[in-house]
Amino acid sequence: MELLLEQLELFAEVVAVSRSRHVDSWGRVAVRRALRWARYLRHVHGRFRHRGPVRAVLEEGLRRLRLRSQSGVGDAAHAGRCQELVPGPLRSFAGLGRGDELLALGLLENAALRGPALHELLRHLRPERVEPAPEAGDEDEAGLQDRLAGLARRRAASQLLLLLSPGPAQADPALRSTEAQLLLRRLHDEAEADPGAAARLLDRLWAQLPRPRWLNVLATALLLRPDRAEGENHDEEDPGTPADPRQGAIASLLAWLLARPAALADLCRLLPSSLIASLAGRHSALAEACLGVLMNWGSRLHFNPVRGAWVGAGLEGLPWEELRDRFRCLCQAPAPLRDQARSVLDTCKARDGGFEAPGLSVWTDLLRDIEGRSMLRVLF
Amino acid sequence: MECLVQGTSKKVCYQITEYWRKMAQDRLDLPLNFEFWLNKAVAWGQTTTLESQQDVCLHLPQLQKFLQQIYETLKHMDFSMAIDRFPLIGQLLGRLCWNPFVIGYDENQKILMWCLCCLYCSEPQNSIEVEANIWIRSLLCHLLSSSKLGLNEVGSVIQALGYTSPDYYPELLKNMVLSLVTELRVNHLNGFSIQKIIPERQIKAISLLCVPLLTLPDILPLLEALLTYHGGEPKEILSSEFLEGVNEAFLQKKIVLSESAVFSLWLRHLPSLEKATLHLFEKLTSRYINIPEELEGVIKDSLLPQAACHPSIFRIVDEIFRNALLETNGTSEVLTIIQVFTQCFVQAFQKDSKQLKFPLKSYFPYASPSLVMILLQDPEDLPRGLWCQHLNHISKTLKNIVEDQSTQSCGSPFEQWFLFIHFGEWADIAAEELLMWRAESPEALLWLLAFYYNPHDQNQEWIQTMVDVRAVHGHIMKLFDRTPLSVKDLQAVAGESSEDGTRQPSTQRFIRHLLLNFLLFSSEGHTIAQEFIITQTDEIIDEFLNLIARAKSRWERLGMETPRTGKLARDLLQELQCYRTKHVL
Repeated sequence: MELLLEQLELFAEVVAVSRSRHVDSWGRVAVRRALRWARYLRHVHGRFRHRGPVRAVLEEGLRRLRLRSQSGVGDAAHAGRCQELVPGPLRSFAGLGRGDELLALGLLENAALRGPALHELLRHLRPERVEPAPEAGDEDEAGLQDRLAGLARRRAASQLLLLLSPGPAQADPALRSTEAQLLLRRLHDEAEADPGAAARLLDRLWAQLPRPRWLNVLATALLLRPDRAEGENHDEEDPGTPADPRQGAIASLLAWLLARPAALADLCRLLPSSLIASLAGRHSALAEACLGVLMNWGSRLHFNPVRGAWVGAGLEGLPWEELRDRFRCLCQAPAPLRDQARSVLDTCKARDGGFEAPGLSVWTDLLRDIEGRSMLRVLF
Repeated sequence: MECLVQGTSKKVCYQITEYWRKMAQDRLDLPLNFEFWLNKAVAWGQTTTLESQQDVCLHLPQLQKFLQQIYETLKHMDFSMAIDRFPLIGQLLGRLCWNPFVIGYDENQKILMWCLCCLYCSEPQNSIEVEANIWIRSLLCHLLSSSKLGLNEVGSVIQALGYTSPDYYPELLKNMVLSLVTELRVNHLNGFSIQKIIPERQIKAISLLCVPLLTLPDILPLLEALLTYHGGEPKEILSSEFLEGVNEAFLQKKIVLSESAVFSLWLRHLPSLEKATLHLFEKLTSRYINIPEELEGVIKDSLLPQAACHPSIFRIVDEIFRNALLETNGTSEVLTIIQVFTQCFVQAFQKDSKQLKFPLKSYFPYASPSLVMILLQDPEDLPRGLWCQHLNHISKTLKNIVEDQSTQSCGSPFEQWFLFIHFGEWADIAAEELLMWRAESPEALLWLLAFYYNPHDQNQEWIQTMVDVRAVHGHIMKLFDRTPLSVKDLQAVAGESSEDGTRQPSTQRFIRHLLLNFLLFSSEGHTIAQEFIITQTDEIIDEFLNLIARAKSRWERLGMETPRTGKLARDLLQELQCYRTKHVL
């Protein structure tokens, strides 16, 4: 088993090299060997897939391996540098069965790979192999072609279905929920290796990815049902997966969000009101936190008598209209969120003296507005 | 009879259409019709209009054949030879690789990948080959979606998460299918209200987009949701390309659909139902299946008897049977098929009892309801001693209807006969009972069997037929006492001697049926059965084979097989089948 894990670790490095500029030293033989190696791991995957105990040991080993690579105890410094290039799934049991695909795709798109080496790879993608395959490799070889073709077909299929999307393709809800599912899967895998890893990953992604879009992905992930039936599980026949991998991932995402005031503020500011209300409706801790942020913004508004409006929340806050929309949505949500939002408004209004006249307390005006009596009608 | 004529002309029209379709297809099959496909690829462009999408869908199967041919040629060539032979190959492959309809279809993407792999030079000799290599590589990257994940911003999220396209696209597709299925369901629930998530015209577009993807398992829930979706208008909202494609894929067993989806397809698209029925018929007749159990397996597997519980499906299938019967002049092969199909249908109909049942009249609108009820009686549910009585009852009822020309309420005698054919098991039983000494008076049973073989109107010919069969029956009954029995004796009864040559072919079939039963049931007949049968023509041997197979299967079903007759039937079947196979070869 140890030997197998070592081999897997080495193969992960091979894949990392295949995606780096160091691949320029590869010739035909190196490509052939790497593919043979991938085939061997695929064979291992096929053999132990249905054998719970062996598989469990192997998965435990993979977890340790991930942990080691993350803490930077990699043997070769050069491989350590390449760790970022190893696709996440390769370091899981399901990934064992897909090494050849990842290798082939990595090589194909790596411009550093030289002509003869690429030629060797392409030779493996044709139906008639020149080289005889002694260790029952024929089936796998056809398997690699079929899986790559299947991938192309699925991509074409999603492109075709995207033609139906009325708005821009990027806005399609299916895209967002796919990203959200993959995020949760990754969080789950990370948390298994090291409880702190999920938060580190989220910090890195927060710094790296464009804000409104990434927030949408986070929100979608928080709204996904913790349900196995939707097929979160990446290996359907996986006997070793805990009953609900999604729930744990959602919990760690929520914990991360609640501990990051800046992220929470961005969430309240940049996402549409209805989405915030759905999130708050699903997670009570988030409801409390969001109401806290909104309360803070509200208290920083002041009434401008010349303009007859509430102004000035600073760069971080929200203008009055948007604050009103957020509260309106929250107050229209089902109980207990509705009551919670209402009670925040009532408490704040009481704290300001409980006056009914407009323009004195932002909370009074918000309440009036939400109750359907616009300020204009009261004034004139 | 008018509908018979109509039916026949429909069949002829169908044959002509098929002929022209085949002609057109042959023209497209001309080897390496390169220019045609390049023009098509240019015209399709990015396939954004509905017309161009329809045109691609129409051509996809032929395009795949063409690409296969191209690959077969390319694989023996290097780059320069390939360019010499097909100077515009790059343009063609490049355009096709960017067309999601083309890539989405069946194995197109794989063949395109092979073609590109063939063209890559391991050691480029000049700048053109270097350029070509770069181009091939980028095209392969595009085709296999390894780079950029298509949509830039999406790609960045997925890559940041450490995932690659093999992780992403299957999930994405699953979510897209799921969301469309959910929206279709909501649409359906909203019924006639205007508040629909997907406008009706877009449903047609969805169905068209599914055409290249039909055999992709990921898409199956969407296919089922579309097939069972009905719009607010009576007009069909799914594209005909989609309906034809699904039917074809189902018949070729490339996809497995739920029963309700298949029934819904056949109910909404008549050409698919016709095609499915003809497909079943071809399957039943092309191979040498004559054992009813085998027929039953193939028939049930087609889902047609189950679907036929819906009367409109039953009547279309029945109409096709009617045509087959007329075209073949009612060979015993077709009679067996109709009989077994009806048995499967009745089983499905009775099993279906929990659901809303349609009245029997809606399945057999031209036949007398009382006759339908009598014929539906399963012999298994009736004590054996009452079979003769029941047969007399059938005979009497049929005779009354046929002879009573004044009441036209029940349709023509042909309709009554066609109904009787469905339940031909009773005719087979009559032919056995006639030789069992059980019939008090053979007259009613003789009439019934004669009608089974000759449904013509009552006339002079009919009187002669009855005279003949009475005489032959008498003869055969006397043969039971004859020892030793010779083949010549049987041939004499069968009317193969010269003076009886004027007998109607239908009468001769009637007599052969009785003779076969004689061979099976008499002690002397056993010894010469095979000898007698192989003196006949191939056509008649096939007829005997069908009769024996039917009898054997019925005995087994009704638990009335005796060791002696059972063994004889088995041996005869085996030997005659061997004999026929050798003869055909």
